[in-house]
Amino acid sequence: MIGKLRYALMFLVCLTGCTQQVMPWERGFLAKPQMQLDTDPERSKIMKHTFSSKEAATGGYGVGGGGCGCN
Amino acid sequence: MAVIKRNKSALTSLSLAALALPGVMASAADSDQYSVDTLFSRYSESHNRMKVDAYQASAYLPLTDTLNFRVNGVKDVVTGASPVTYYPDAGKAKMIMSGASIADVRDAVDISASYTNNLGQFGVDVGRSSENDYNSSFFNIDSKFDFNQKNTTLALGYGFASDNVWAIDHCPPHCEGMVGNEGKYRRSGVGGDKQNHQGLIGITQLLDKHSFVQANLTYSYSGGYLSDPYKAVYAPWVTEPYPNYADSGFMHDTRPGEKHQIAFLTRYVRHFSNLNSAALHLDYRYYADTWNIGAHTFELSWNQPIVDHWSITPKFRYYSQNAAEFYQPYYTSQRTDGFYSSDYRLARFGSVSGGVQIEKQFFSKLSVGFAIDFYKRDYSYSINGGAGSSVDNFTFSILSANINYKF
Repeated sequence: MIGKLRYALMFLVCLTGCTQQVMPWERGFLAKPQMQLDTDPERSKIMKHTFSSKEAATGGYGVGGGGCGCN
Repeated sequence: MAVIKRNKSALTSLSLAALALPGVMASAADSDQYSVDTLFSRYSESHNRMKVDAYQASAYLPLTDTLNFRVNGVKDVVTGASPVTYYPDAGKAKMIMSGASIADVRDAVDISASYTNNLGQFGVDVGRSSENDYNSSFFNIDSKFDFNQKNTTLALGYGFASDNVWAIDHCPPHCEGMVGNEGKYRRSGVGGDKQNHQGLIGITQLLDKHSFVQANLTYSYSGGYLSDPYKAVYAPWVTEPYPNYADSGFMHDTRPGEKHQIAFLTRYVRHFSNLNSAALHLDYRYYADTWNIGAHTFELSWNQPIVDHWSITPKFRYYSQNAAEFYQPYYTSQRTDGFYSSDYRLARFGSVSGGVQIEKQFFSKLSVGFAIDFYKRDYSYSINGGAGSSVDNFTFSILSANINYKF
């Protein structure tokens, strides 16, 4: 698990090295609703809750509690 | 007047575009407008198993330019049946279901506040979730810092949850040893407290004026009672009768009291000007824990604006995991570590799911949407290894409808 963690950290560090500088006035497309990471937060919440109660994997999207005794 | 209003709206949009880094805004609703979001969803499993009706509502309250609040509420109404355990029958696992006895209601509420200043964005979220047999209290703090002329955002987060879990039985039918005490009662010998700590570090990076990428790393530690109080395992060496079933050869689900988890998520979002401003979303998550479960999740969605404020979003998801090191559908001999679980969620399996969402916006204030999603779990879909069984194959569907209003 530590080895995989190292690759993940290396990826995070390299992320900023292969990009173009985007000026504030060039961000019109990036600010559109369909370009948000969660275009529909309520629906996204229920889907993540469902997947995490039926699968072992969880996490990655943020920190948050509110677990359930889902069967 | 209408022209002035339209110009003001355009100016607001332009300002948001200039100031906001994608992914930093929690949602499109996080602007200077009050808003209310509501969602109803119906979850239905195959083979007449679980059904869940979920009612969600959320209110967004921007108090000032720098301070806003959000209140979220959820009510889940759960009915149906769930697998309890398995036993060998001619070399194959045979499932024992709980019977259609599950009837539970989950209520959850959380309140969050977010403050923005020159240094960054700081948020706190506090909440509680309660059921017949499960309580969870939690809080989360998160912060976001822009640098590199707002082309890069660093996110840091911490979350803590304190949970209590137990099992509820009903009399009848499980009235062994009980006299004059009909109704619900708490099963003895199972359940307990557990705590969870989570940490997050993430980077969102603009790639060009049409695309950006996000990479998040989360670490989670859970300690305490991590077993499922309703699940049993087939253990032929056990001679005492299993509670409520008066049958020997079964014992309680028994898992380690600690679990460390990591998840590494990468998300890529790209805008297509020549396709009516469509957006492609690609996610990949790698997950690993100290119970030796590893999992891969791929997600893809395409958000396509059509005409007259209609949009359609098809989605696809693939998931694969291997089994926990102590998982077996049933046991024929004792383990030296003393851990046993036949919970189908710890087995080797894969799943494919997909759906479509349709959204219509009216007057830039009201938004109405509908979505349908299908999920199919199958033992043979896994690209990972370990024990598992096709007896756990199942499907589910989720129908959902939402109404969002901005004031």
